[in-house]
Amino acid sequence: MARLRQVMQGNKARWAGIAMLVLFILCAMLAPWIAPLDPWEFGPAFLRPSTTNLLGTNDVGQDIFSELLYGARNSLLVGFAAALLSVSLGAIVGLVAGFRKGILDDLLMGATDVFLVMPMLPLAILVSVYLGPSIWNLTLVIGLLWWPSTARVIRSQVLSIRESGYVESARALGASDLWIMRRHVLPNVVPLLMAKFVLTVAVAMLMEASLSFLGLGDPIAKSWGMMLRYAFLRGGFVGGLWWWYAPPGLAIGLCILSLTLISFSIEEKSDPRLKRVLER
Amino acid sequence: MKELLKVTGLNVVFDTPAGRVHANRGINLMVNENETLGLMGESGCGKTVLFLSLLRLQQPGRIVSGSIVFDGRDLTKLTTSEMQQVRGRQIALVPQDHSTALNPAFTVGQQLNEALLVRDNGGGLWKTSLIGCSGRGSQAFQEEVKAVLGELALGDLVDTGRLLGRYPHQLSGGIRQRVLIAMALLGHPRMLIADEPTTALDRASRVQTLEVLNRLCERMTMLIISHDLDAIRTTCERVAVMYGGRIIETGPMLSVFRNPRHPYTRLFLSCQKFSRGDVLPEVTGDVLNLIDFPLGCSFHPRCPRAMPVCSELEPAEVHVDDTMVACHLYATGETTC
Amino acid sequence: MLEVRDLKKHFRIRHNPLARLRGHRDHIVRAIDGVTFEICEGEVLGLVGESGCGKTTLAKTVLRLYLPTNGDVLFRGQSVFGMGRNELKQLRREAQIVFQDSNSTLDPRMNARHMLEEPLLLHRMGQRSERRQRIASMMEKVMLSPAFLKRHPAELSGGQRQRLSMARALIIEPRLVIADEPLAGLDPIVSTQLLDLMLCLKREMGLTYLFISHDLSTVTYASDRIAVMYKGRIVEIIDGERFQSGALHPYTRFLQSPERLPVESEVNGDIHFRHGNGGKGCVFHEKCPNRTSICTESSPGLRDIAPGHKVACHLVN
Repeated sequence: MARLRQVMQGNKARWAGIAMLVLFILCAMLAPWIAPLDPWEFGPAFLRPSTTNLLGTNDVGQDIFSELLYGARNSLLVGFAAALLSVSLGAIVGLVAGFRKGILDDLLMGATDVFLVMPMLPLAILVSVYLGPSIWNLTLVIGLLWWPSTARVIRSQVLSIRESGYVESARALGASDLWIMRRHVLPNVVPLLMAKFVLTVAVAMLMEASLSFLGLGDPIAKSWGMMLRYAFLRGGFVGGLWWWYAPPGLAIGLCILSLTLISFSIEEKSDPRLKRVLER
Repeated sequence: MKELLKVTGLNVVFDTPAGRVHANRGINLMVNENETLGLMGESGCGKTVLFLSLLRLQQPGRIVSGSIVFDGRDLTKLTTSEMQQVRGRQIALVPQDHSTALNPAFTVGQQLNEALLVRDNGGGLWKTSLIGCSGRGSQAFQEEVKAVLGELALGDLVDTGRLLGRYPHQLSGGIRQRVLIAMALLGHPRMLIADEPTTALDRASRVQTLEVLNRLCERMTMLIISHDLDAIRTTCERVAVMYGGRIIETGPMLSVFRNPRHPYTRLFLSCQKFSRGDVLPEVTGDVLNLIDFPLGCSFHPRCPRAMPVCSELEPAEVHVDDTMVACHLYATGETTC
Repeated sequence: MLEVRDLKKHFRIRHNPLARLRGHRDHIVRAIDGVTFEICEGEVLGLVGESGCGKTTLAKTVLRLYLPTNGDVLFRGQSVFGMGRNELKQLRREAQIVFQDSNSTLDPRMNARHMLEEPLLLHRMGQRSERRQRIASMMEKVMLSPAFLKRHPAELSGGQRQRLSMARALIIEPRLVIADEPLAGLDPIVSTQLLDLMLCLKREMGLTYLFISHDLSTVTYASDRIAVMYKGRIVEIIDGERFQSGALHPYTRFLQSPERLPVESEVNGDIHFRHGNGGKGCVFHEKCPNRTSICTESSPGLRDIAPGHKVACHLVN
């Protein structure tokens, strides 16, 4: 226990981030059990927060607190799934391009650059309009559009490791390409990937919120972006109904903050030279 | 002979996450006018911190106590702007790494010009325009630069005009090193500090740089930091040896080289001068960690002649003939060994 | 044991298309330009030369870390460049290289134990317990305490890191060790300690060294024979004992004595590429104090002057 406390003190920001994220994930997973009311059920509209409706009700009388809990499910799901898709894609492209230089590298990086220069949000809007509103389409769109930056970062890291002295020394010891990849390149890339993954989750959640807000999400599914959309469309902002628009906005903000904190701490921890200073 | 620089009891510390680093511990050092002092010691012994402290550039380290009296003024008590007047004009520094010390974006002429501008304008940036470096191609400038370059044997070697138009990467290491010396000399300093002036040079340039330094030390006060024994031998009149943040031996160059008294000085010298068939000097232990000092003399864990007292008491500075030694071997008046 | 025959390695420096449009031509840097020597079993061959003369390139090419432009290297009579997979693996076991600058040649993520275990795993040497034992005995041989096994490179001093590099190369019990400036960047006392250690290990394990350095005194001390390199060529090979007094090539003599040379115009736009400019004549003729007309025209080959003494100079008989 004393040890745990010591570790905790080592990096408060990281633990704050992890605690917040765990809380959000728990809410999402346990929503059907901890939500006091069914968020799809209609009732008296525009109620102020009270003991029955912790955060009041919206324009059609759905309980906002329950909506918020159920919304976490979709928001996090889209975030993690899209990040997984995009980071794996980016990692594969980056690793292949970095390790196999030559024409393949030129082609892959050419494609990456094309994606990088395209303005993301308008493109995402176009594609989602074409595919139609659904959570899975949203995930696909974000996942397939957000990989180039990962690919770039991973490739440059692989390139610098490839040329490093320790790879050369491993080669002099008789190591094969596969061995070098597994023992020297991957361990140096994985922490970067983790950091990138966590950061991409944040980006994907923000993207999901934006697209939903613009009406490109599933209109029936609950998500934080959708809640904001309805609050905006049905006079929540104009009417000053803060209990309607503030909670989903705050939830998005806190979630992204926690992910960013975690991502930074992974990056810091991945460098043993930094770690030594931090531990003391 | 007049005393130009006198350092007394200088203590410099660095606070790091790993603990407090005592980089300089009670340094006593004196340099006479027109004298050349060589400072030797392994990396991490505190010699860099020492000369940076002379220019008050030791940040993030702090001067905890001690005084640095230069020409009658205590440098530790000067304000920042007064200190700027001292740097370059009273004490100038020739930095170690000639390949990074010059700005790759400007020509040699522009950088020499900048040295002059800084000198003439008291270091105030607002008085010189940022791009002003390229402006002043006046006769006076040309003459002055020519004179300095001539002194460094660059004037006859190459056409000065061509040299001034070159960028640093177009020059060889030896020339860059001499351009750095020229920049330092343009401030007409009373004292010149040269940090490892001959390392990272090929042999021909090294020989030339030594010749230049040799000529300079006849008319200037210099402090040469080096572990190149040839460089020290050809230029210095006195030497000081540092270990573990202290000066453990100072004395006339010949007497220290011929008859080193401190066991560390002996080891240090014998490790660089051995020839075929010699038995290599026995070396034990590892380099010193400046955070967790051993009690007593900092050298005793590696010292071949350590005595019980060495691990208990920090040795005081003792005068033996013409040299000063900080070692218990000499504390009882024993002068031969 | 090792025979190097007329080895050449040229690098092409490519300019980007824009620079090429402006008339910059691709340069060819002749890093090593026709090097021939051999190393016998159990000897220490010292290779001296100033930085940039091609020593490191030579070390890497000999062990097939670079592919040569021309020439061949024979290890125990077998061509290094014609080896198949298994033979190459055997070569990697028997011939090791210790790189200069241990700071970058050790993986910053690995601790000392992992680093020493890697070569054993690569060559499938020993079970877990045997590996453990080998690692422990190797640590003892290089005088590192077992407490260091858990440390990362950043937590070691320069001398300790270099000793770890040595241990890593020696743990698979190679026969030939190429040490590329193993003492560079170390303090005199630490470097003496390491030199002593290297020679002890040589006697203990029966090693053969190619000892590369720019420091004359250490090379003279350690080597049975000494090869002097200048601008990608070997200009003299001589017995270590006769090196101080019997060296004949003007460049070797220049290295030995601190006399001043007549210097060519040093402000030269092509200073980076000066080294091995591909011009005619002896590599040293621009700086040589006794050059004659023949020196600028034809390049001298290495000739036997006396048993065990070869010089590449027109003026030495």
